[in-house]
Amino acid sequence: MRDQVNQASLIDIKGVSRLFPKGSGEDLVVLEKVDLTIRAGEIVGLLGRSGSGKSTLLRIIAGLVSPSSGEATCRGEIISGPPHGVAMVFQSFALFPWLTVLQNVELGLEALGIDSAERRKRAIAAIDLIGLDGFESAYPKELSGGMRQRVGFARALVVHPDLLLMDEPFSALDVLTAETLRTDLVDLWIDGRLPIKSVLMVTHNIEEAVLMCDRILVFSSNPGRVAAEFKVDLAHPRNRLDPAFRQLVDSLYARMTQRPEPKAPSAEGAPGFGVGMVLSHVGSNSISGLIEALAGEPYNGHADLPVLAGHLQLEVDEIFPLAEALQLLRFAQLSEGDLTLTEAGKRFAHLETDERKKLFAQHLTENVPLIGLIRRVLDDRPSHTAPAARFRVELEDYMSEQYADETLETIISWARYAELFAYDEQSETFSLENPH
Amino acid sequence: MPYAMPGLIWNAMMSMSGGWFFVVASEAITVGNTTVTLPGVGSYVALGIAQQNLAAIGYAILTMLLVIIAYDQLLFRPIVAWADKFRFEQTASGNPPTSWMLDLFRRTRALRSLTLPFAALNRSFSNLRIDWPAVLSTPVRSGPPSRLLDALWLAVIVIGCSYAGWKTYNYLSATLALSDVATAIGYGLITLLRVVVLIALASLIWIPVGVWIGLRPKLAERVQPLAQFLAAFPANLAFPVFVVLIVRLKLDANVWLSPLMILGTQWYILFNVIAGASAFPTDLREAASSFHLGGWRWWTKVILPGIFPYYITGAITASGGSWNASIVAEVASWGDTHLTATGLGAYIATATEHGDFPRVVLGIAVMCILVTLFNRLLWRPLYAFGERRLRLG
Repeated sequence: MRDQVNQASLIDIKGVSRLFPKGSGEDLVVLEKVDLTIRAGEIVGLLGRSGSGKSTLLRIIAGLVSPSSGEATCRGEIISGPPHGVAMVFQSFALFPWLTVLQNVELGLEALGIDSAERRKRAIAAIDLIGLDGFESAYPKELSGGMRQRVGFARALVVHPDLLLMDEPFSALDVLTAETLRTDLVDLWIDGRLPIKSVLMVTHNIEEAVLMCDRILVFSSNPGRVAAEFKVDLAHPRNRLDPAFRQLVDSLYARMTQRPEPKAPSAEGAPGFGVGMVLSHVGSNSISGLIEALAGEPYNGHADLPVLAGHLQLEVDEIFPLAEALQLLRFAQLSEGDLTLTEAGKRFAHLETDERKKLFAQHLTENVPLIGLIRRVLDDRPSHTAPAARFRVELEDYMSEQYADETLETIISWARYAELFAYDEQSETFSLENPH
Repeated sequence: MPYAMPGLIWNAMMSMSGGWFFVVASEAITVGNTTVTLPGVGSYVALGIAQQNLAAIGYAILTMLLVIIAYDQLLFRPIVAWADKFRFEQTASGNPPTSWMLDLFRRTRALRSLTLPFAALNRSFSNLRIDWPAVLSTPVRSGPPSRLLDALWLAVIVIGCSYAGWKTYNYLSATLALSDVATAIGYGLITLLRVVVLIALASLIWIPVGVWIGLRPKLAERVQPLAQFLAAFPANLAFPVFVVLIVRLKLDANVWLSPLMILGTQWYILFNVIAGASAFPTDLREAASSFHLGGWRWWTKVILPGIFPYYITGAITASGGSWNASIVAEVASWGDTHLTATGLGAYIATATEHGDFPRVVLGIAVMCILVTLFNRLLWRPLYAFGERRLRLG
């Protein structure tokens, strides 16, 4: 009985956390107390935004990163170093440019001590299976992105792993290529032609997760936790237009926008507290663009996020920070996966450039505490200049260095657009004077 | 100008090291009966050698270290950091060079105001309107470059070279026989052998060390400036220390003088390998470890091809520098003891000392030809192969 249980669960993750040491004091928590079990015969998806620790979890299972606490086991054995029977497909393909397609594929077998004739046979079989015949002697440089990722798949499949790990395998490909590769892979999986037992994939594409996975774990950010688990009972091949499919996509969107995460702006933050808010880098052009799209036909100021994302061809990683920026600046309201323009937002859409800048500046000063703070300091000082370091130190009380940098970058680009204050990159100082 | 700036500055910095080496060497020079000494650290060391004063050599080394640190920190680092803004790539580089000196000038009001007159001067100067005569101005060319002009240029080069060759031949054939040429070539091949063996040895040592360092970003960040610094040090200042050892321990000059040739140039191999290993993509490392590639297989299939283009750049510089150094390194003295290793460098040095100009010319001609052949037949093809097949990204 016990044996059966062990056989059934391939990977067991119990209470795994991962900290990264930060320059100043406290460690940065990327992954907090995560539990996960992967059984034979399922495709599991880890869905979340960047910084949610999903890639770190994948790397812990791959034996490339060790957990700070908790237990990660593969077939009952603690994972220390890459476990046997687990192969990985990389977002960036990670092919060796000095090896041909065939040599790249054979590489996975070399360390297993298989003799060269058998190696060649298995590599050719994997190449044929994944639709690469004819490309054996090509170098990766000569291939298109889609073909390169096929090599990545062949290299992983050739070792006949029990578990295939995929780290955003389609996100570096164009839309059409990615779709072809997804359906090819799903077809091979349903036909039982893949020499693997389970798949674990990391993605930030909601539709991709619903299209391929049997089970989806939604991760929240800062720190990374499993926020929810969704089962997908739809039969393969799945149809994106199927109402049940749409329903699931909608609820995933709602789940991912629902909880106000620590980094997301709170609707009614106490003044002063909000200085420590993390601002994702969102350009002022994108903000204007989204407001215009939202104000125009067919949305007329109100849109369903999945629909809007699909229409604008934006990934989750792009649409969420944008929508949140709009909410922060009170140009729109975000709730239950819906985005609604406010009165100010509607007005913004119809203004000319100079008027827009004025409105933007007003909303920045009112709603972004850090902008208000910098402006006040600059106004107070006789020299009307202030070093960026002063504000960076303040930010680092609340967040990691990396987030502090990103927040400052965002602040600078917004303030430049709004012509609120200037920034000199060489001396790293803010000032009131704009060179004319 | 702005576009060429980063390359220009980097190469100026690298050439400065080579410059030091020969300035130091040429400050005290004996040709035939004439001895020329210029005041400087080079002639100081020469005097120290003649007087067998090891302490003086120590002082010279210390002085040089301080001078190099000073010009590195006060001159080149600030310029390199400043020139980073001229890099053509729009994306920010991973680790932009920094300089405390530059920060000081940029962020303190007092120092900044010091630079204002220069900035004003520069502005007025670069805004001067100087119109070229219409004949000299080059319009943007659209067609292929003129064949005729190329051919003319080639003809000028060929004629110039033939003339120089003919002159050299005439000069040499008046005093030297064919057997002299054979001797010089023979010596040349011995020095070639030295260079090859030394580069091989240095590679065996510094490739593993460089890879080990380069894959640890924190460590690489600290060691890299040190390696560059060592490459900038004129190694011939340290020669006497080694010569004393050779004399005291009665070692074979033919073998033990050789390492001096690579003393200053081996660092080029080290810092290029470190740069290569630091730039090795993380995903490829992860892939290698995920597929359990280890040991010898990891070296040959993963890291060596990955650092190859960098290594070749370093090895080319190191081998060129070693040829140069051979003239200084194959002959050494300590007081009245003179050590000579058999080789083309010693051949040229001895001929110079005796004022035997035909042999000097012959030696230099042979060295030029050997170095050119060595570059064309070995380094160039390797470099091209690395660029074509092993370039990442």
